[in-house]
Amino acid sequence: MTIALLGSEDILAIAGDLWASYLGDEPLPSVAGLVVPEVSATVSVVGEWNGLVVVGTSVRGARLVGSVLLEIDEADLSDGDVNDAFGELVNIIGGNVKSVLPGPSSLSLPLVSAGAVTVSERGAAIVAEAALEWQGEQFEITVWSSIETKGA
Amino acid sequence: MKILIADDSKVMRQIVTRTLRQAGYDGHDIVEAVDGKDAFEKVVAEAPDLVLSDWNMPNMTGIELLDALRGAGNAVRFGFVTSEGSPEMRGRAEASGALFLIAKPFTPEAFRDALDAVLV
Repeated sequence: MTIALLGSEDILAIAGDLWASYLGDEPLPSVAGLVVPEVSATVSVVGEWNGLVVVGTSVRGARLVGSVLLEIDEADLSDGDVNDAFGELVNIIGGNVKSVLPGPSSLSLPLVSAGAVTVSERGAAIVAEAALEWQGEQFEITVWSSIETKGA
Repeated sequence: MKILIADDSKVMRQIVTRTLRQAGYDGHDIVEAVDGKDAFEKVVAEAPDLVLSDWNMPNMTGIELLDALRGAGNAVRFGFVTSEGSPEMRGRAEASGALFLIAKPFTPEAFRDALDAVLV
């Protein structure tokens, strides 16, 4: 029997801490698949455990994150500010996810891209996913694992 | 006192600065560095009293920065502020001479717990 290394409740707990610490109020649990992400941020974990952590949201969701983290009005945000803030969000979630997985592994720098991230299911599987709602916007967090990874 | 904050994220440098203030460490000179290489050069040039460094950064990582500083004979007080807080990472940080590792997301209390012990 394979023991699950990570569940949606773990992701929600990590996200809850993150939002409470930096974004002022905790998000509400939501349902995955309600919206197609317009902005995605990813970090890779490579080593003993191999996989990808993805956070997707709307353009407004990413801009709200930037506005709150930088404490400036949305209108004054540059694209670089939004990418920096949303990338840091996935960096923190990815680092905390990595901490509960087998090591040693390395965490990549974050990447932010337009649209949804599609991972080929030929070589990877979803280990855990969670969705949350904050300020009326949906945030989806997905942890993909290489299917050759132990414990996937 | 002069505190150098090394993080490739401008957002996180601002959050660290803000949290220092919330933890009661305001009124200090803050120097910012955008990666490990920039931090190494600014430690040499600015001689800060404390370095708060991210771990994963381009050009030179935080652990490479710490090892380079110690290799150059620089004993500046050094702590990590990173998204990775596993026992393995904490062990590596301590073995290289870091005084503490504050995991993101952090609170002002976490800063106080780490800094009160080393800023005497």
